[in-house]
Amino acid sequence: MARIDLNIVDRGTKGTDWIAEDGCLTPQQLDEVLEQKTDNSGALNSLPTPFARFFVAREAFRRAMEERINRKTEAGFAYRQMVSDILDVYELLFNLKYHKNIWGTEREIEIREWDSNTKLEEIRNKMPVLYNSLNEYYKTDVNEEKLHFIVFTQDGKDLLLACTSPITGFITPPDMDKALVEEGSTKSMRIVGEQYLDLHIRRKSRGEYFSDALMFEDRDEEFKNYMFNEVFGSDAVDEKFKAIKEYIRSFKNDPVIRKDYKLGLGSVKTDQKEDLVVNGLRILSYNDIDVNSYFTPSIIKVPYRISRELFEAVVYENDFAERDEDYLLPFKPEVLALFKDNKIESSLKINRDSVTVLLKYDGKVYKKNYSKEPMTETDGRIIDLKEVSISFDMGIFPNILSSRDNENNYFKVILLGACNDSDSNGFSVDDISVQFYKGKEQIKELDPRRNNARFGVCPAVTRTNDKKCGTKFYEVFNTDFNALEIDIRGHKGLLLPKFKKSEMTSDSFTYAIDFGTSNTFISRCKHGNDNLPEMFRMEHPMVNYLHEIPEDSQISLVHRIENGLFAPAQGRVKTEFAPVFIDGRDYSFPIRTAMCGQKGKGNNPRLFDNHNIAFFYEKVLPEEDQIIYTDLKWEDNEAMLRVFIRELLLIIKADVLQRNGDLSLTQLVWFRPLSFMANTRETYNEIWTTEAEKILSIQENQISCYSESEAPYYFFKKKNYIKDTEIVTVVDIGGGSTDFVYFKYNQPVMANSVHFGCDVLWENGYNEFDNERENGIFRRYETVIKFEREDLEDLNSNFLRIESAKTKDIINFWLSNSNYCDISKRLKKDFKPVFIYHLTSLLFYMASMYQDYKLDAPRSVLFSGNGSKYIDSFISSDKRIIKKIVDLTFEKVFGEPQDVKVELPSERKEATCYGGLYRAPHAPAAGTKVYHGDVKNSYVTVGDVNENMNALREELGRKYDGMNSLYEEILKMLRAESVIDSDADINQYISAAREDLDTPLRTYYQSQVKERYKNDDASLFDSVFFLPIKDRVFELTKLDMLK
Amino acid sequence: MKKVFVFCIGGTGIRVMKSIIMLMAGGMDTHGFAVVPVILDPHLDLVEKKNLHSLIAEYQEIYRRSVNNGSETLNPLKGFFGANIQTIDDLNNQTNDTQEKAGSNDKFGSYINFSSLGKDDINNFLVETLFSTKNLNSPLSVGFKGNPNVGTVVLGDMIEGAEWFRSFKQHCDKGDRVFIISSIFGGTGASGYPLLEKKIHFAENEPAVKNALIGAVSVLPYYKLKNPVSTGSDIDSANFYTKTKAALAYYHEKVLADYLYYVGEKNLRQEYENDEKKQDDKANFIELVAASALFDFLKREAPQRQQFLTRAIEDDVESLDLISLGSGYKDIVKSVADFMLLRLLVDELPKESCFPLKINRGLNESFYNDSAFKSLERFCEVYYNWYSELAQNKRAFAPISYDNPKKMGGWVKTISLDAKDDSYYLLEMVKASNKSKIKDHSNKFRFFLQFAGEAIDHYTNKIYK
Repeated sequence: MARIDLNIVDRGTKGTDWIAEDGCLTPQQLDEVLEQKTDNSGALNSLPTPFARFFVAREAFRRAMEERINRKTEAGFAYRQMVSDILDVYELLFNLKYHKNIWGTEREIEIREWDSNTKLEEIRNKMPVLYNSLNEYYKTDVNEEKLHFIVFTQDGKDLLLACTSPITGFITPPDMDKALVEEGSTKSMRIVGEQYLDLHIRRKSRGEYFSDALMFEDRDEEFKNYMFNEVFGSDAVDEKFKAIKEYIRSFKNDPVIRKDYKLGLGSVKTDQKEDLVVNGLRILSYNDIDVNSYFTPSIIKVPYRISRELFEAVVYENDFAERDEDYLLPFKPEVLALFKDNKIESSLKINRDSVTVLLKYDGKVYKKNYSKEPMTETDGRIIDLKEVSISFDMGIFPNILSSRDNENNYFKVILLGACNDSDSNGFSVDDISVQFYKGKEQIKELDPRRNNARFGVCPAVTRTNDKKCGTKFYEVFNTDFNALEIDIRGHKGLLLPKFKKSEMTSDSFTYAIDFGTSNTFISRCKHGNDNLPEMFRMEHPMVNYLHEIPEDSQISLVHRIENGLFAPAQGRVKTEFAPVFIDGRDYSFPIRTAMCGQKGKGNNPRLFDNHNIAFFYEKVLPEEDQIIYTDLKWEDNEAMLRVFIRELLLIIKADVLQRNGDLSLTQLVWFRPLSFMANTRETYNEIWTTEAEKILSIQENQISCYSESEAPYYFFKKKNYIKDTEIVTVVDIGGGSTDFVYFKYNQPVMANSVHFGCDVLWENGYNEFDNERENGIFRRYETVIKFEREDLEDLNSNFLRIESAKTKDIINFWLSNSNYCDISKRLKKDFKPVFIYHLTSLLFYMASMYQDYKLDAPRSVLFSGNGSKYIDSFISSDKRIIKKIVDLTFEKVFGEPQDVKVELPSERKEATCYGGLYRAPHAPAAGTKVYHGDVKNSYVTVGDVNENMNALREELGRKYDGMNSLYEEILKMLRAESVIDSDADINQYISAAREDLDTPLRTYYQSQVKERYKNDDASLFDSVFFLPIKDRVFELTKLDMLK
Repeated sequence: MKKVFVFCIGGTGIRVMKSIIMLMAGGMDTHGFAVVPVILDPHLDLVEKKNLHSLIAEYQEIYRRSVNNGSETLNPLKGFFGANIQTIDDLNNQTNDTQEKAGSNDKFGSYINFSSLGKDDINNFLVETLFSTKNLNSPLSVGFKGNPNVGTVVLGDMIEGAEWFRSFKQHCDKGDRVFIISSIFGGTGASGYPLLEKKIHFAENEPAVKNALIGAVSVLPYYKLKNPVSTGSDIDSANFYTKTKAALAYYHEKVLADYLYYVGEKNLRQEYENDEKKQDDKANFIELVAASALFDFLKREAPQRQQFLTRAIEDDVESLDLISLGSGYKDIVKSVADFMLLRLLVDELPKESCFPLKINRGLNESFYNDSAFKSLERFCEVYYNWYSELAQNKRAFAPISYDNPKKMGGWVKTISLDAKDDSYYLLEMVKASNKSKIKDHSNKFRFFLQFAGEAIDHYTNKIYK
């Protein structure tokens, strides 16, 4: 045997006495010591200094390094774990951006500064024993002015993860150490400190920080390069870092470590907003694109297929035909920056209890699993809306973009949300919100009225907060958008709408809008070679809904789209949003001029937010919280008008873009009745001009206004209905007014308009109560009208039940749906004398006017206007009979027989619109006359009428007598012609017509003129002639012809 | 009389001190220094610590009786119990054992007043960084359980405020020395040594203290403990070398001792139970070697520069005898062989009815029943056990063959002694008595120790030859 030193190393001591040497055991000699591995972390505090932990960490790296050199010199579990934990701190900070993205606000990392200058003093005061020791060793062992603590906050609780160290960069607290414990035959790992039992932070790569030991070689490529090149790559690294530096630099042959490896790095900030620097080492964070961070923590599953035609949606790797569900894209909007044109390269794989979403970027595939009950921190959660009893859909209007950016200045998005289980979750549409993005930039929510914003998103408006189906509206102004981030109760998903792109051509269009009292028409004509006008209809939908549109050629596209919504939403979109599109069938012009508003919001109508055109009117019932406005044209409600016109213009705009037209060349024609008061006319003019400029970006000179009276003439002329152009008069009977225009040789000579349309037949005279239901026609049929279609029958029942429904609206509803009930037959049978009275009064008035103005009787009379339909519908479809009535009238007034051609063209209702399209813009307008029945005096102002009232009454008395006499003759002629049954009691009508008209004249002049026109100087545009006639029509409706 | 304050820190310090006492009892020369053991271990109930106190007391009693001459004190004997041991209390003339106060029943957290920090005080994080919850909750009465970082804080405070330390500073005179015994791989010793050294070296107000020659033996790993994974202990001997390396690296250029002795083993041979509370580890050869460092230190003068000392054994064998130990160990072997012979005599003589000194020197029954002899008997018993442990431990220090009193020529292994049985020694005692001309005392106990020493030395002196 050989001599041996009694030492841990053999220095070759000579002899066996104590031998003195000058030098202590050197590090080189110590390196020869063969160490054993240790699995016990509790044994790590080996040094006689309170800062032992700092040196133990160094030892851990030294041992790990020795293990790398010689695998047989195992470092052991405890040291390997400590090395792993410290590397975890570096990696956690390196991937801080990634983790913060994942954590949201629920978890947080903070780097808190500890300043030895002040904090040691505090310790001195509170813990003098500890202070004495710390003070004695701090300068020699640590000697850093500041330390920093890496603190992890979860559920409001702080957990210390690490402290900075001038020797290894970081050290973890001893309570975070692990120990192997043996129970029976099994060994298990246990974390020392109970406070860390619930610490579970998933690494970006794999496993959990501070849990499983992951040595440097097994870490991510980016992290390895960061540590190797950035942290410990410099020769200037302080010598104190020797152990960790040697360990890290020993990986120089690692295949993924490259000197030229590029990393986008940023500083890690302390709570003092300073860069984190540890003994000269700059601790950095990976700022490069972190694709993983673009996944949302949850994926929203909807119980229907999302339309791939209208939205970019997930691409299934294993799709199946029966799939009746879909997913919103589980990405944060930042992902948009990675891909051009919304073409996110992603796919989704359906697994047994989960889905895997793959995101392909820059040649790499990133994936995230989503399941109902995620097992790991990195897994996401599937939010199945069906399971949580939430219904959700949405629509975007318009769905088309102009090639000119400035023309993409208005978009409306409707969110539809419902809670299917009334007890379960208290969900409402307010739990859904949307953020809009253009490119990768969020479009901020700004109120354009308050912020002077150039573009933005108006603050969302919840229109209906109904659990059955709530609606919420967003308006994007002066910009378009390419992505929406949907937030449903904090769970987010991305939607990428596929807007149609208008490919602008040189095509341009004129649209004529006949905003009538009862109905509104839009016609369109393409500019150029005498194109035929056409009633407005579209080829494609103008609203994109989220759900897929089922293929079924038997069902109309509108129905397929609307029926794809969850049931309660179907009613809401019909009543609150733009129609899917004007397909000419389910939605077509003319429409009833009606507005749907949210109850209580009438004072501040805003398009879609609380009001919209009631395209559904007379088709479906409004919801209980809605109210229908039908008297728009003559009511002095500018805001309501504006909303109505705005929606029309938006639809027109969508149409132009769908037709690839040049929006800037669009021309508009709108019509006004001659009887509009000046200020009303001005109001309309202002609305049309400003709204058209705003929405269509067209100028005032592209907008024309013609009188409703003359427009039909130009259409009829174009259609060659007018063979003899010597003297033609057009009688345009609308719902609220009737216009007369007298043409001589194609030139308008005189125009006149009276506020006396066909609606007076369905109304209640001058009864000021809107819900008065004394009209005889209504009373006669309210209980007997039955519809063949169940929905119309329901609708009728509801109309009758709703107190606010007017007789005019109900009868118009009957008439609109006359194909499904016998209203026409009944009216023709029961009320012919009333219609004849109405027509007689109009014709007599017209003939008297022409005669008083010394005009020749016309050679042709053309009827236009939807209101004129009662002539051939309820009096006689035999044009000869109508001609006889007209001839009788002119003979009666002019005193000699007349031969007047009568035309009742089939396009009567469209005539105004169409005529507007053909009228030469600079054609002379007809001179307007206001005719009260007397031309002997001047009746320009209210004062004039007041002054000459007696003379007027006298003249009107004579006129009314003549009219009643004519009425009698016509009735008798019609009975002779068997147009009126022989057993009909026409005398009661004749008698009723002959009853005193002077009293009602005076009465209604007082109430309708004098009380309304406070100022005598006001021009009186409407004729007083019909004041008593209107009342008399009402009275006649109460008679029973067969009694 | 010059003093050497021997600071025995932690469990290893206690065991090494035991070996020092045994060697002193066997006649190792302290070169005129009275040994003042100061036991520094926060364990309040450690049996080893109590036993050491008892052993010191026993030694002191034997020593006192050997130098007692009524009202005067005789010079110490040469040989057995030839050096004085004084305690701090002796120096203070106190009866209270101030050593007992070097401990606390507090938990570490309470001791440092951890609860004074508010919940949101950032200093909590510092404390959490430096100490585990287990550290903070550990009662100091069981020591530092391998946590020198805790020991540093506590001992630093304990030393600073301790009565014994003030006494030490008070009684440390010019020329006195300091010797510190500690292990480097444990808790208490590893923390106490550098602390104490600092305190002494920087005792600016006590020049005798500050300038005292300091020797220290740093005991490196020499035993191992059972696997803590199965025992649940915080101490893992697998870590000893690593801890030692870390500590030595940390000590580098930080130690201040004039003479620093290293002793340890390259391979840990003996495995003890892993129970910090008991620490009833058997005596080990390395402790004996560490003890020898004191005697080496006491014979050296102040060095020009710091000296680091190690020693070897001649043969790396499991059981050491005089040859395998090497010549450097002869004094130790002789000391042990001598005392074991003394023990034999102590055991045999009371049974010898015809022993001449029974009459000539009064070594009669009354003498053997006297408290001094009884103390010696007890001491011998402890010594015997101590040596038995040494002889059976790994590695074994077993240069003595004491099994058969009738075949004592091989008492010291590897050499043949002339004394073939115990009668040789009894005869030599008689001769020594006859030669003795001492008239200045009539201390029978001193006579006994003196004559036995001379008799034994007569034969065992051969060890040096």
